[in-house]
Amino acid sequence: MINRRQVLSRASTGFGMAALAGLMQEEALASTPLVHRAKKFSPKARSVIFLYQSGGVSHVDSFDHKPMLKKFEGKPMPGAVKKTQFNNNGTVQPSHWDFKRYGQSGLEVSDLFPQIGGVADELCMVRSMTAKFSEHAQGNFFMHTGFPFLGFPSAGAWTSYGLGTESRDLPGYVVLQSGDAATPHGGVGLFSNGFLPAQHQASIVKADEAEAVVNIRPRQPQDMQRRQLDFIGAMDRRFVSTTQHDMHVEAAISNYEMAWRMQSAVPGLCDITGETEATKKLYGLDDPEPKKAAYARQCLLARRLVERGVRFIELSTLAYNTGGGNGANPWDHHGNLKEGHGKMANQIDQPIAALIKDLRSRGLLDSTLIVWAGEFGRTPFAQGANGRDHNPYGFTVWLAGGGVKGGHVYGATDDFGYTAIEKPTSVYDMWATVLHLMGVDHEQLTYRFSGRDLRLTDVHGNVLKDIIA
Amino acid sequence: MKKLLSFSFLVSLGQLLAATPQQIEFFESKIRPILAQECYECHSTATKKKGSLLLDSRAGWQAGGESGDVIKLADPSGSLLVQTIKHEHEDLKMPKNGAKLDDKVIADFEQWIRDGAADPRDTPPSKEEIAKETSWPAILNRRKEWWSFQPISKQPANKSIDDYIDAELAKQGIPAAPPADAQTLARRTSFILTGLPPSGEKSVDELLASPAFGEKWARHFMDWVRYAESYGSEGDAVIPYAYQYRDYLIRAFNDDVPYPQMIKEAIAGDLLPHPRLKNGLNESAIGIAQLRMVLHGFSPVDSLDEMVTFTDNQIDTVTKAFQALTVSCARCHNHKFDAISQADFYALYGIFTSTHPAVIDVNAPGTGKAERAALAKLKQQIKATLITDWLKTTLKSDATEKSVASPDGLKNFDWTAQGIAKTNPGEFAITDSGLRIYPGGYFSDLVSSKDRAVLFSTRFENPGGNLWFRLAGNSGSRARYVVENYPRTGTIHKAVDLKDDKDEQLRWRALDLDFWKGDEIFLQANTAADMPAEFKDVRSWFGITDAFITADKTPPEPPKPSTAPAYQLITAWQKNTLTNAQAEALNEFVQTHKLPTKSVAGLLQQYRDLEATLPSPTRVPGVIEADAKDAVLFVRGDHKQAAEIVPRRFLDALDPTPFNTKGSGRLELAEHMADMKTNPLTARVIVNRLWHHLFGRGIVATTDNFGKLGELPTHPELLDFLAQRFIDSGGSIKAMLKLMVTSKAFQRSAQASDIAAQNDPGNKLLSHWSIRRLEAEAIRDSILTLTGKLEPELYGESVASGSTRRSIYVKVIRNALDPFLTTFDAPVPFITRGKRDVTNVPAQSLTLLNDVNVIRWSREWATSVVNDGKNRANDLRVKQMFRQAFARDATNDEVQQSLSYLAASQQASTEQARQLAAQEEKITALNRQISDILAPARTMLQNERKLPSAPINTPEPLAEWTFDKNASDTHGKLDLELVGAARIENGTLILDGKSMAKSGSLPKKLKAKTLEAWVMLDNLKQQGGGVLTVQGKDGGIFDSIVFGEKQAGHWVAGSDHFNRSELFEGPAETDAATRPVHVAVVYQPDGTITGYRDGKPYGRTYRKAPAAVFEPEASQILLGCRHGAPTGNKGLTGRIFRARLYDRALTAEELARTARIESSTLTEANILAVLSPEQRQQIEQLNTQRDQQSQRLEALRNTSPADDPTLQAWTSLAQSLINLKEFIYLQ
Repeated sequence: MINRRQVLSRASTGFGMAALAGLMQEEALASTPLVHRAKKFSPKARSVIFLYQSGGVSHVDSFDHKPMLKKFEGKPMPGAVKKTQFNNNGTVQPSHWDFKRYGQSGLEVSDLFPQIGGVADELCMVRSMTAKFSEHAQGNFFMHTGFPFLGFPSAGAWTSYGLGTESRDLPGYVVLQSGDAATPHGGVGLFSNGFLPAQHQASIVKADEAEAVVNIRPRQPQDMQRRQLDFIGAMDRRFVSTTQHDMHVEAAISNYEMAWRMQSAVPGLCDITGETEATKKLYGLDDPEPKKAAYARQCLLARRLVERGVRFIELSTLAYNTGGGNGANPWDHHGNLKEGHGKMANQIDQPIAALIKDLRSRGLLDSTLIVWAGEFGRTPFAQGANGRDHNPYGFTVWLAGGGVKGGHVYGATDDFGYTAIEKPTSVYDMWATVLHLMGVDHEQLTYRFSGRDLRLTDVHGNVLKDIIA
Repeated sequence: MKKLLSFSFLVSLGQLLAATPQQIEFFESKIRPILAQECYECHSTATKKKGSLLLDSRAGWQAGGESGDVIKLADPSGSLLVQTIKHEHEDLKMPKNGAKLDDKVIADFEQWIRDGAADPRDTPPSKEEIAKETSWPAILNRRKEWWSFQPISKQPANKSIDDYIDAELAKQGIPAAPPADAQTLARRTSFILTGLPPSGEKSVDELLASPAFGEKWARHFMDWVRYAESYGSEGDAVIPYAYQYRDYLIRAFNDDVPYPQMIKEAIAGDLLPHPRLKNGLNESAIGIAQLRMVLHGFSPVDSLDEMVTFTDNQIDTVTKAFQALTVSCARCHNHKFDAISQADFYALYGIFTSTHPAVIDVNAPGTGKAERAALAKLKQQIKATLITDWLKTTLKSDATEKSVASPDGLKNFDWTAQGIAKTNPGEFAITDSGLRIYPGGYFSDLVSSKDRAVLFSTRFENPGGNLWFRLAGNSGSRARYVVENYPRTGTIHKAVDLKDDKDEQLRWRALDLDFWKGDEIFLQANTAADMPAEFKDVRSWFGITDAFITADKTPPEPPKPSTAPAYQLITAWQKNTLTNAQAEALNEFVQTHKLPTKSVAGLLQQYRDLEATLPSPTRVPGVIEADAKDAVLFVRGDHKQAAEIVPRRFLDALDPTPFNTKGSGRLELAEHMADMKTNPLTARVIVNRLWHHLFGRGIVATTDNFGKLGELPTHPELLDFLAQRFIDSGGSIKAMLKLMVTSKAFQRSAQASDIAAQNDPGNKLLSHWSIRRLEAEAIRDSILTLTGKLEPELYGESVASGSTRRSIYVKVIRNALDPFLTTFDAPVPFITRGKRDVTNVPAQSLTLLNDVNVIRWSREWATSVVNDGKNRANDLRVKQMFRQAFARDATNDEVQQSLSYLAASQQASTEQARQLAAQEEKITALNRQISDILAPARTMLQNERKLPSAPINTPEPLAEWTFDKNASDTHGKLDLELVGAARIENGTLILDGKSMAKSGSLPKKLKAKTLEAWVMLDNLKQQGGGVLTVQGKDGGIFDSIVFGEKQAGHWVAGSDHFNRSELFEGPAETDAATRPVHVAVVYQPDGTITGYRDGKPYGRTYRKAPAAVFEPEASQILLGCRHGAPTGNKGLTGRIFRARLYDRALTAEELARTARIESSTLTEANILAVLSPEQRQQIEQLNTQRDQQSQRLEALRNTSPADDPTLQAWTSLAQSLINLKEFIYLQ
């Protein structure tokens, strides 16, 4: 019997062969598997676009209409008020925007998001989302990993681990940033592979920078680098033969060819000169507001990444430094919410609507699951005069495409939008559902670390069957 | 079905008849407990009937389940029950979601079935009966039988490691590989013991004795205790003085501190009756710093939840690191698999929550004793002299002073104090200007404001209301309430910050407690440098006289003023009979200079001089014993559901006796964990960790888990043999490592025999060496070794990645972990990590190929190779490089290949340099043509507009360059020298992106300053070009007006590592390519930075403290280059019309005036307007050409270093060798 190592060493006489690279991707190198091999069932979606709204969007000003707020305007919030982050609670504050019904479904969306309203029939709103933390970093970690601290794999990493990537040249999990978009509070640990193999960590792609990925740009002309790689390759070939074609060394060698390919794949991804003017305009790339144009570029790249088979793509909003909403938490309007939310919504409304339309028109929306969420909502009562504090007790996230019901509403908060009272939902439920739509049972997607079989959904999570089309 | 029934009937009948007492006994002892504990949860009448199967009675299993019969008497191994518990069945693996049962247990089941499956259970048990059968004591007793809880087995003393390894190999018929050659072995041993490549021939003893040994092995320990220098989460607050702990570990490993001692120090080093005192430090106490390497959330609204989380992390870390047990898994319920109860978790929780987060002083006892005695004596002298002096003058006067003190208001709480003692009225502190006389209370600066002081109350349930402190202090000392040990402050964790001048007066301060009503809190006051988070490493002091809580917000009643004539106060001071009120009244006399201190001016100075020599505390992170108490157990881990109190104690499975202590119990816990004689885990766990780091795989592969979900030892007897040897040595890590390193098993070559490859592909039996990648730190350190610049210094504050210090000194900031080290699998510090990942990801290749530091280091290595012996033959150089990189000689083939690579590289570089030069030539020519047309027109227009060369009332610069004729400073101080192709033409300095102008030394120190320039750019696409820079001469620190860095098309105040740079968020530049624009950056001494463009503020002002200080002689000015050496850094492409440097921060009004010095409103459009149509057309064409050529040049430059082709070729070879797998793999 020939063992696997021998098979590989024979197969790899022409090292760097794609076949080997493929094997290396899928096969276990260490005692732990590189890619999960749980049984999968037929997926509805093959990619996720996570439109993360860092800082916390006010649901009562956007997707959760609460006429009661108007009646109580200026009055103290009735009922018990839980501890808030700033303990500077004012009176009930109605929405700063009117709501309209859109589409055949008649979904209510406020005037903050007229364009997203225009695709309301694609949206599946979960109005009963809850979180356990009312602070940004913990909330961000919780939303990304199911745990409030660094060290755990992000949903993107789990997805990559569960399903691998379909792209030969790009990683399975990409976080897009553009302009001065910053990493949310908690830092890049939010995008971490945690204890999963490192190939599942996010690659941060700076959508509009010459060097979109750290160290992706060669510091020498291509022909010179090729010569260098060939020299390295020749030397390595000799070395690996003395190691009886050690698998790890082989894998490290094949990595150089992957790196070489990435060096051209990434700039190719970011080069949008081939897109039509109509497409660019649809997204708002021509918008005079630079932050909106920057976010539009992320949305367009998200579609391009989906086309290239990348599993999980996360987008980053840009801040206006208004009323508390700064780089890491752009939506965090503890003060001056009207101006702050107004600017933020203007930034993302058209690009996101365009992304949905573009995916739909290219036949990609059904296989692409869009998740729009922040780490919490905001209080129905004011913070100070004109802001809102954090509210993790009930808020709205929405999904679109990828096998969810369009024009659908799931769950509800109370009359004030303060607490989820109908079908309260957790982030575990959200990721359980996302994984389900991707064809993975969240209870089976486990990794043994530190004495436990750990999951994205910890010991929780129920698939929200009601929202699945 | 009928058939089945009758079969079952027959079986059961036969069974009953046949059941012997022995069979029943076997069932009762071996089978029933397993069925009850592992199966009843899902398969019993009283609970669930999963898969329609009942295992709680004979009839139950006889009826079978959905999948049919589960037990076939005729075919034990074919029985479904056996298949599922053996995990042989594809879909059913039992127990569900659990670890596979022990092989022994499975064998018991097979035997039971073989023997007829005797089962006396006639009826299914009730819920109560199940509860009894699955009670914790029953489960615990069975689980305690797990191998790692058994005493260490006796092994013959005369055996060796190789006896065990070779015996196993012989048993499997696997031949051992021959020994590795000497070079390979030297490299292997050196990397493993010191983390560095070999230098010269060194014995194992020499390697163990080298300081680098500690630097290597301390890093392993840091992985075990999740070492970090910040708490993570929003704000990522720094853990004060964390690096001291890293240094402590390095010393401990180098001193071969016995391992049990290290465990004790890690848990209770501050409490040891006989601490290790060395070099003036209480080394032992530093060990507890690891307790502070927890993560902290930001501003939690549920502080108890936060405390549970970070205490859980402490428990998780110590139990994993030192016992390889996952006690943290038992926070919500008894452990699913191991002999760990939920109560165990809360026993430890009570211990760790009986301490408070703190900064502690680890100076050896008695440090500064002599100085303190002398200072005390001086104080007496000062007091005596003052009294004599004052009595002389005041006896005549009867001036009075109101006193405002209240009675001792500290009685409401029990206080614990460190570094501070209760003061009597009349004690005093020497200040910068005189002295302060204090009432009774706690005052931290009675001897010195260097001293640390921590004061806290016992814990109590917060009644709400208002907390009142009467406080004084300065420099960031704080008083606060602490909720559930949460150490940070913020909007809802409030503190009184003592920082302004007025805070130096005792006065009432209030904090609202209502938000935290019902939570457990305590009160705390600290000096600024001694806060466990948000510390400031400065001198500070505080005093407190009162603390109490009122239900409402009414301020405390003002104390009744009392008055006394001065001489009475002085006399009372003399007799030490001052009341609190009198002491304050006397102090008021002193502060208002009614009682002068002139008479003691000399003594005060003496005091200050002596005080300056008083040793400062050596601060480290730590904890302080609080009022100790047992904790309650939280039902299902829900901290809102308190259940019974659990006494503080060690683990159920090892010794559950409650601790008899008034302290937290840390000391007792430490003793239990460190007791290698009675605790079977301690020695096994550490020798296994050492083995893992030597062989790449532990005898127990799961180094952090010796429980059921961990792996079984490959060589259990060897593990016990090593553990026993380790115990016998008293826990000497060096002796154990020596034993392992000198084994044959360690010294084998990597050549696996075919049989080994076939039968033991994972090399668990160690027939040969397993090749593995170097750890992240070793990769970086060995690259630095090649450069020849690796600094040998030990210890100190942490450094940035680009530094030339060893990687163990690189900062570990949780939200910004070092990218290089992280790429090569340095762990994310959040929990014990005994075994790092070893991954292969493209980011690693991209880092070694494209990372600027790696390229810089390659260049440095190449430079040293080229400079070493001018006339040395290239092949000798190549051979040297191979020896340096791989610790072996190069083969002829390798030398030849390297030489041809060098030649080819050099040729390519030469060709590239030629192209570059030609390209530059083209652009220079174009520029000249353009300026020949434009310059006369510009001059003409300027003259026409008669702009004053200097508007009146403009501030005087320190230096100014107008480029009228040359690059001299019009003020004569800082003449510039042109570097590269920089030239002066038509009153401008012309820069081509690679050239610059630089000055000599600054004539004076610069902190506050203003940089100002009038500049025109060749294009707006350029990135990172510096206009005007002041920098340290080595380029390490600089402030600069920079274009297009951080954000394309924008102006930014550039600085080293963006230390003082933020986005101004001004508009993108639109004009500078068509006309000169005025840009200026104003630097205030407090770190406030403002940008200006055309005399108006540019974007927003921001503050990034501290401001940089540029020392004279060591600093200089650059124009056209951002910073640093002239090569390797991007320069500006464009022209500078004028530049000014001011030694102060100009105001907005001043800049509005200076902006007019040079006409910057003359646009290209203005100039074009006066040209002839032909000229205009010409300019247009030339501009187009220049833009095209510039783009081409930019592209060329991005990929070509400025070095000469020879050095470039050697750099490329050097970098290639670093990229070879042989370099990063250990054979």
